[in-house]
Amino acid sequence: MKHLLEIENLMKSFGGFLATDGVSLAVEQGSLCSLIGPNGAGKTTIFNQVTGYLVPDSGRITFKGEEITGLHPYQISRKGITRAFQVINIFPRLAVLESVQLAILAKRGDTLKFFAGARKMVREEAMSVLETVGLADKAAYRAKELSHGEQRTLEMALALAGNPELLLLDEPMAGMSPFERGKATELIQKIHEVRGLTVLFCEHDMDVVFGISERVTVLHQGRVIAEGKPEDIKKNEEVNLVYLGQGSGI
Amino acid sequence: MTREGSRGLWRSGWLWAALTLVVLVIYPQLVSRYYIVLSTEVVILALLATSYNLIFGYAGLVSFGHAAFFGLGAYGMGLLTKNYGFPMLGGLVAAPLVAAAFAFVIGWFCMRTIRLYFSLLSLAFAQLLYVIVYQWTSFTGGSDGLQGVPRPELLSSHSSYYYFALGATVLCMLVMWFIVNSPFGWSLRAIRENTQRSQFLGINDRFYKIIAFTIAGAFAGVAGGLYSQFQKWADPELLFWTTSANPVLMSILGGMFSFVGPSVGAVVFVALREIIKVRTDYWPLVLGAVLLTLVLTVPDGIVGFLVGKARPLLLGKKAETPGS
Repeated sequence: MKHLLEIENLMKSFGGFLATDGVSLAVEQGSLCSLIGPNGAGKTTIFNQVTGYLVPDSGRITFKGEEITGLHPYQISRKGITRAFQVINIFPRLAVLESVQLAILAKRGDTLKFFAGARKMVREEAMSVLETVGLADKAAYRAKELSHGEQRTLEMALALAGNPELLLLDEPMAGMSPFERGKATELIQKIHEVRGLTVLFCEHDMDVVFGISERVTVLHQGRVIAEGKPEDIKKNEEVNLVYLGQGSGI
Repeated sequence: MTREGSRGLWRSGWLWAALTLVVLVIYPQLVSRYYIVLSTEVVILALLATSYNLIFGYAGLVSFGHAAFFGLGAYGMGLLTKNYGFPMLGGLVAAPLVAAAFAFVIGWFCMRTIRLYFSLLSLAFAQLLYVIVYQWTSFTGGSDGLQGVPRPELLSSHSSYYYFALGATVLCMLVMWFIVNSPFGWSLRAIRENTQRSQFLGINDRFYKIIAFTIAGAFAGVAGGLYSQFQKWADPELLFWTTSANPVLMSILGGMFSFVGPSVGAVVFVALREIIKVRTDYWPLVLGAVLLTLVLTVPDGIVGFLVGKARPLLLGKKAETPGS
């Protein structure tokens, strides 16, 4: 099996606190994987290291067989890893379409053009991303004029723009209504199946995690305590003990 | 003309630009010398303010040291044409290059810091250059300024210099207009809106900000070159921190989220100054009060306010409002 992303023995501490304590995990090409664990387990810290926002103390991260440990976020993005954030992280004053056009241009390294008219560039491609996520009718709105749920969707559109190979979603459902969760879940499955995109996400909603993941990795206090198919994780005693709560019966 | 077609024209702004240009070309024929000289100053200050707004309004960087590049352009132009025999146009190309070189180095240092630290560091660099120009009497003329900046025979009259400054400014504005509407210009806006997110999209924000700072420095250098030739002398005051405040005020006054905002701000700034100055010696006090009122009532500036009011009328509905 070919691994798109491999993390080996990753360590990261803040002061004396070991946020990532020797984590190793692999994401297979074309899979839909999830990372779960209680608050403070180190999920976002791992995302931050994979996307270059934090530099690991030690360990290796390889993407498509190439080491990317310690590269800058803009370099990692151009290699094909993009990310949607846990909190809304968009461009409030830019129009929805403009944001996505810019995301595509930036991912391709086309943003150092000084005299080309940006408005007409990659317009169709940006519209097709907006159609995929269902925001096409809001293309001319400014991002700050969108509703909360729509802003989360735009967040996803920014991550999807420019055909990434690996999409990292950090709690894509946080703060969403049950209806929005349903739509977001469908969207994740759709981009995974239709675009063949490899997805790694962390999420607290266990119905979503066990409903759509092909592999689940469980983190606890900065370590991987279990890894496997959703059915096996559900049966794992240690997982039930430290995370899911004794006898929660999921 | 169809309704859609006329909307397109309104929206494009080219019609407005052309109309404004026609007015700017015709009206000096109808007014006295005083207004022509004043208009020349406005045109040059509009260029300075627009160059500043590339980093202020577009990239979201509050520099308090833009006067450095204006002054370097002014002294560069003066020294090159007076002491080194540069032709006028040669000086007007070389002086901005000098300003841009300084802007690149200063920008490189300043972009290691953010927000307030960036602002203070830019101020410190500008003050440093001011002190050098002020003290280095043998080279710059020191506190007396650099006297006798030459102007060619052809441009000796007030109106001919007005047209020359207008032409140079329009050319520079056109180049800047293309830059702000390019992928690079959009990237600057993205950096302003959300630096972290722009990094995750693949934008090397620090490098882009240094480039923007350099471009802004170059155009401030053109404005400075025009200014010293217009005044026929350069003054250390041009690099002083009070001069740095002017483009900031003009941008805020006119509207920092609009391309023409700083130019409108320059017009209003000079008009206010002239109106108030003849009535009281305390014109900065009155200007301060006017600015305070405007900032509190129309925080997006004059142009931002007008555009906000006009768009729903022109477009029929607010939803079509494109991004700034």
